[in-house]
Amino acid sequence: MPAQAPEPSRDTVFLNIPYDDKFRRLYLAYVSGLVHLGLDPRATLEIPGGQNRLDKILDLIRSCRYSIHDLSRVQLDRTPPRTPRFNMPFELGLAVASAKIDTHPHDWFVFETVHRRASKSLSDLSGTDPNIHHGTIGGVMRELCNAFVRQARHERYSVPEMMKTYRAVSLLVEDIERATRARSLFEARAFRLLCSAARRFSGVPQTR
Amino acid sequence: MAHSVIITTPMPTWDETVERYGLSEAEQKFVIRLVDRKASRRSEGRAGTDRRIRSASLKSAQTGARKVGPTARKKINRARASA
Repeated sequence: MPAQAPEPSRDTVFLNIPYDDKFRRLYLAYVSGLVHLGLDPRATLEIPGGQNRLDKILDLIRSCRYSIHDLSRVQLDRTPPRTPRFNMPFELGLAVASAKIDTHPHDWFVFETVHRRASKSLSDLSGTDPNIHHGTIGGVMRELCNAFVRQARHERYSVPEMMKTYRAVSLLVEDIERATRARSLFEARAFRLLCSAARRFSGVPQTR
Repeated sequence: MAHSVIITTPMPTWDETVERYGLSEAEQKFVIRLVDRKASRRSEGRAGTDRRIRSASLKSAQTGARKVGPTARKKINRARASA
């Protein structure tokens, strides 16, 4: 780990979630919810391929003020050889180490679908209460609100308002997929367009 | 260690968004056109009519119908009338 950490950008959130089609609705919920709260989601899918991917992931985590780690995918996948997904807990470990070692503040949050499962699958997290969203869109929005509280204009940041942004963004998915010719939404350009569309929808101050 | 953080920084503007994501002129136009069109259709209660037309037409095509059935035709006409 390089000694000098990059200065974290304010309001940036490293989003550590599984990239699979079954998680697509929750992925949209995370992106819409975070953008609605005025936060800036970042994800490893923005990182171009090639060498030193691990270094780039670490740099991305350290450049973020917050991180969200969804540990919902702990089961074995169907593709042989059947394995669980280790990326999410691995990147959680990187974030925890970064928060401990770096001088810049970094807050990390663990999100889960099932109560008490994280304490079984990752007992090192004992003493940490995960945010349980029960695998629902509303649950993700609720837990994002629990994790992040905006001081100014807090009346605007209700779950129903966030759901409006989610629904609006999910209506754009087809157009974005068509425009980007993306095979899935888990691609850099689709992610970028989703975030910017969500920001425009959520009614952030606009100058044009 | 359940905790929340309080965000105190102001909401980013659209210009900041454009800068952050490095949106090209074409991408900016695409997003603005897409979002504003959907928003205006939503405010007029016409959101989703394109999808309903496509859905009804597709269903007829999938079932191999040589001509669109009366129910699908009704749905298409209703959607087109409100589009």
